[in-house]
Amino acid sequence: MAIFRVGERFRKHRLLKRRGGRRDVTVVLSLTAMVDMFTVLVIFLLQSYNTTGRVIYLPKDVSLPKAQTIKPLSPSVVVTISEKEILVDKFVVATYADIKAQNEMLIPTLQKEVVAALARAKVEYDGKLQNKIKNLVQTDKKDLKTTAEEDKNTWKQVTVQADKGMDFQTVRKVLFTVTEAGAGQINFAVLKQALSNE
Amino acid sequence: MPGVYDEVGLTAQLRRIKQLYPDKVDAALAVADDIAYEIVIKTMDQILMTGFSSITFATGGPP
Repeated sequence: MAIFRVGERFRKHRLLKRRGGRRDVTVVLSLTAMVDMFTVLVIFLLQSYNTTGRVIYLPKDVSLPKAQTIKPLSPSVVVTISEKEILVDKFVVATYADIKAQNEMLIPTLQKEVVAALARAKVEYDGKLQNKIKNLVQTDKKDLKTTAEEDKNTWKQVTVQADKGMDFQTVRKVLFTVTEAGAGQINFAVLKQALSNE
Repeated sequence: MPGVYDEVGLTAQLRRIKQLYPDKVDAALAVADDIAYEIVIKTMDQILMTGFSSITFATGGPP
């Protein structure tokens, strides 16, 4: 610190003099350009997330077969058949070895679990407000036969996913049991195959 | 012993049947016990592609 005589101040001190004119602390942000960029980014992300939004749980040892004639996934009870076990919506109901060993077509544990899962699906379906409104509107229409059947079957749908090397006898037993448990339409989960040129 | 299936032949046959009976949409599938699931799905795919939208599985194998 410089030494001053009493009463005197060094008015031309180096640090007090501002070099280069005014020094601004703020940074000027180009807002219009930033908003444009964010808009483009949001639109791009929306496009890339344009899916049905349904997630299906797939165990690691199940590799699905490929097919071309496909429909989007719809909410339903999922039955998974792997080399080790049979699952209904993540719950293990039987082991593959047991199913292979049995001669009967019906699998009791699977049937019980599918019945319970379908009951839950029905409750969920009825509880949705949009379905309540749809049902009220449709009771006024005259030709509601096909639409009513379609509606009833949406909660009865069961999706079956099995490993592609699975022997069909096991799959047949599962299909039989699932039908006995009250399933309506059975859908098979596949991977989409690119359309081949004919 | 699993062999190579004549997929082209099957598609041709199905198309012929569809031409003869255009209103028919149901098909029944009888599968032997030890056939791989992948082959069944491929066959179902071909049946759907040729216009038979209602497929049912027979509980037994082929006669």
